[in-house]
Amino acid sequence: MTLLQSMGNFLEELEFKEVAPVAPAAKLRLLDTVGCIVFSASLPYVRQMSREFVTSSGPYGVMGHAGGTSSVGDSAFLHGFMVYAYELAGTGAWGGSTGSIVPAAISATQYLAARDDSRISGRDFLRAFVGAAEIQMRLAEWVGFATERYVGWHTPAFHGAVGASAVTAALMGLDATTSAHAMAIAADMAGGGLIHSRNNSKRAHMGRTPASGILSAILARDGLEGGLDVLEDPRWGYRRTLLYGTESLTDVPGNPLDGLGSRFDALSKVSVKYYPFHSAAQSILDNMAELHRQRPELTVSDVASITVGLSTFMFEHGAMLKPAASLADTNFSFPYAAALGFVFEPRRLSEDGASARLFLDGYSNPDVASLQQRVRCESSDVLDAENPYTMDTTLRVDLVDGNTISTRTSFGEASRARGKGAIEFGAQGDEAILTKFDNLTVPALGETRARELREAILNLDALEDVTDVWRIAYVDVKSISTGDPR
Amino acid sequence: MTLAQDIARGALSVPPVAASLPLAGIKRHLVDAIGCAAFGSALPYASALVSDLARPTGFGVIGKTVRMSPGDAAFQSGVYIGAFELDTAGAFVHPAASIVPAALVAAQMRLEDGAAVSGEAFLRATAVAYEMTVRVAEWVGFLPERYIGWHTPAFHGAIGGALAAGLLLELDEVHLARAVAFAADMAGGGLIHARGNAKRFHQARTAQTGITSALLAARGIECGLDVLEDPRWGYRRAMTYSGEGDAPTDQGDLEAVTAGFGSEWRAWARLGIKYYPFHASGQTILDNGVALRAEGIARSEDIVSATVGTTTFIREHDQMLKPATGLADANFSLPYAAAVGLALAPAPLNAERSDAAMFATAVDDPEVQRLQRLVILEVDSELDRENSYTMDTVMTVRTRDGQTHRHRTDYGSRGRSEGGAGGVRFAELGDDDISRKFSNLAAVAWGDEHANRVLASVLSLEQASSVDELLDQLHTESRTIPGAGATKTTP
Repeated sequence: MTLLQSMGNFLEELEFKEVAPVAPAAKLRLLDTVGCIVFSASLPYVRQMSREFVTSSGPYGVMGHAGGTSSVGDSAFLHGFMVYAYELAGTGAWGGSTGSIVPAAISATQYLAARDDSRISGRDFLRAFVGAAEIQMRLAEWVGFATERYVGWHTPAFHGAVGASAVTAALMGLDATTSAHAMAIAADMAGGGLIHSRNNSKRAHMGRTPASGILSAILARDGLEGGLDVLEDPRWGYRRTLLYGTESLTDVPGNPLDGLGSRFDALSKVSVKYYPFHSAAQSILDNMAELHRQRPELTVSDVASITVGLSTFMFEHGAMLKPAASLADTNFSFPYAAALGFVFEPRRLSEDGASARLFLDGYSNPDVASLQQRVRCESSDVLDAENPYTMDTTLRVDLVDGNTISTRTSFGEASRARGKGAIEFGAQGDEAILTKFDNLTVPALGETRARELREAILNLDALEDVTDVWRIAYVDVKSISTGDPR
Repeated sequence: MTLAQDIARGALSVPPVAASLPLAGIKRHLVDAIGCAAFGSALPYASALVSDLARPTGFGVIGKTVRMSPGDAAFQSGVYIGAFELDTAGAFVHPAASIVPAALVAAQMRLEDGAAVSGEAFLRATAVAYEMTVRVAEWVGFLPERYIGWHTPAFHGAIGGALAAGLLLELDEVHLARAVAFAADMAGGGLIHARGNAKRFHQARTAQTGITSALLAARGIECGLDVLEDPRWGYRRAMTYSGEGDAPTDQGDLEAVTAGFGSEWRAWARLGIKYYPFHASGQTILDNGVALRAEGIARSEDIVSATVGTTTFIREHDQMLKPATGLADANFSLPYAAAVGLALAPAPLNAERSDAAMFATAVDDPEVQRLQRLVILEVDSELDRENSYTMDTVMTVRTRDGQTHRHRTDYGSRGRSEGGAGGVRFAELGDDDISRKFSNLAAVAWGDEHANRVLASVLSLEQASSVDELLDQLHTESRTIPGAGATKTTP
């Protein structure tokens, strides 16, 4: 039996009662992802792009838009793009996140309703979601870090497609073999996505993963087959190809099926962001917050330079070491994160009173523009020794008076306990996730509709038709005006 | 200036009416692509998604009257071009299924906007895209397929699709460079391991990626432009990584990608046009089988063993070493190719009265099934020495009377001089051959009369003030081939 056949069996046999213990966590992850989508719908570059896909008569609704797309693939692509459009989606374990699964699941339920008049209940949705998350996380951990660390592929663009096909297959009720074929086709169509890329390229290739997943499941349902040994084939398989040349540089778990069906821990490995930045920048902003606690009186004119210490892996993301040059890459620029943190002392989005759009507005602030030019990044041996995948950072601020202030985050200690691939920044409890959701959705949807959406997701397991949830958000949100639509 | 910018500048530098524009070359390939698509649209399994993707309005698909979104229409036409493993191969790419569908959709979008798209503009955009795709493919080279496992056409084709669509959408240099960069980052997916249905969708995805990338760029969405050559994490480096640790790789010969662009056209010398619906190496296997039958094996029933020698690279395609189990994997099974050649000695598709549909039904032939189980594949070291990427093969057959018969192809010797390291060579098809192949394929789908109309339109396309007539002709419903409904790759 191949890996995919085992995974197909798992999906077919999985029952809601098995996932019920993690259903609350699943609903919060869904809530967090939907919040990201809704806020992103108001971003100028998203609205610019969606004009190409959304029409008033499109049957597949798009969150944050009054119209819809004419194709289910386009719906999945747009929702996937929006999940990542403000760099706020959950992240973890080299591509084990659920950012591809959710948009695929949303679009798959739209597709089933439109084509077959088939309604997916909240329980069935959660069963499929958790099952797909377990498969994708195990796949991600099995392939491991080396593909990103040394080779250069952005692994979420690969594993996400398999996760997206798994959730679609489960929602369609495909049998074990057909589900395995869906995942095989997805594994073969997966990918595209370079670790080098930032801004819209990354968003676009992440939009492709749910679209690939949906397509793969539909193809499999219609009787087309893929090679079921595509994952583990020792000569040309998925893992071997992704890891080629790094075999001596990495150690990865041997069996992705370990604990599948008895241990549901994938969601616990997905970390929730609280700043709209790349993972490493969460801790840059946290360091800045600590700096302000120590020296609240400092102003931009007091700063001679700022040095951010990163793991070598992060430091090699050359494109992210540059100051932000357009609105679209503010989410990926470490200098911008440091400068914005210093100038605005922004609250985490998981805190009351935080403003999501502050991170956009900061781009036109002259102090931020000036200060980000004084930020430099360097690789840190200390961080590398702790964990080459850590998202912890160090911060040193050299003041014009000759003094220096240093601080660092130490979130990584928790990740060592949760597995090598776990990404850690400040832990977000249930209330924090709910607050982040409110901060993202209320400005976009208004208080009433945002609350309705939140309650619907939190009560998902009682719903007969999950498309009723998505429909709440099928309204046009206003584009945030920034003067820079890119 | 980044490579994406160089590519965009080079693509735009080809004059609208260029003396050097290889009209004959691009028209040959366009005829071939449309013929493949027409036949593909008659195969039931290739239309598996049509009802899912169809919508009341939108953009047309070759061989169908339905309408789809831009990405879906490009995808579906791409599926059809690659559906029967008959499309162009060479230089580590199969550009037809990536470029032609993206170009067709972009042309429709322009026409819908009220703009004119001349036949010459269409030919120019597709010719430029073919040429640049081959150049990018040669820049990346053979390594990803030979050792690592990526099916590189699933990557490079997206860049070609974006270029063709971007040119027809009349993107300026900045936006065209972004389209290339988007495509490079969204490209890929595709393992060399795959055969059967999975492979068929690789190229279709590149067409979809190409049109999507051009549309993103047209909407003003920006992206990083150094994605191709970045020495640490770029397109070429990631695809060719083979254990350098943290060290950046060299960027290859960047200048060669665009050098002489617009005056020196390499693509046509690199690409082989198939005449059997099989993987590239299956062309020569069939040639060998047909030759052995012509040279003295009167009855296939007398054959007791058959051995096919290939390069190591082809021999390592373990999925292709197995007998075919159904229509979906028949095009990729080398034992099946050998059995069809030996049992049926079929006329190639460029011959008069070749029966294209036969290749879709022969999988049920008892003698073919018997023979394919006899076939042994082995590495031929002589072929490896000549060219590790050659598609030449050697076939040795033993008959009941104890005699041994041997035949090998030698197309590669010409490939080495004309085709570069990645040139795929089998028998060369002339203009008449390609027209006959088209007719043999398209007539199955559309009937002789309509097939002839389409052929005439393509052959005179540079004189057409608009491509709208050709588009109308292409969006004509094809017939379904009876008995070609299997989709399975496993029993």
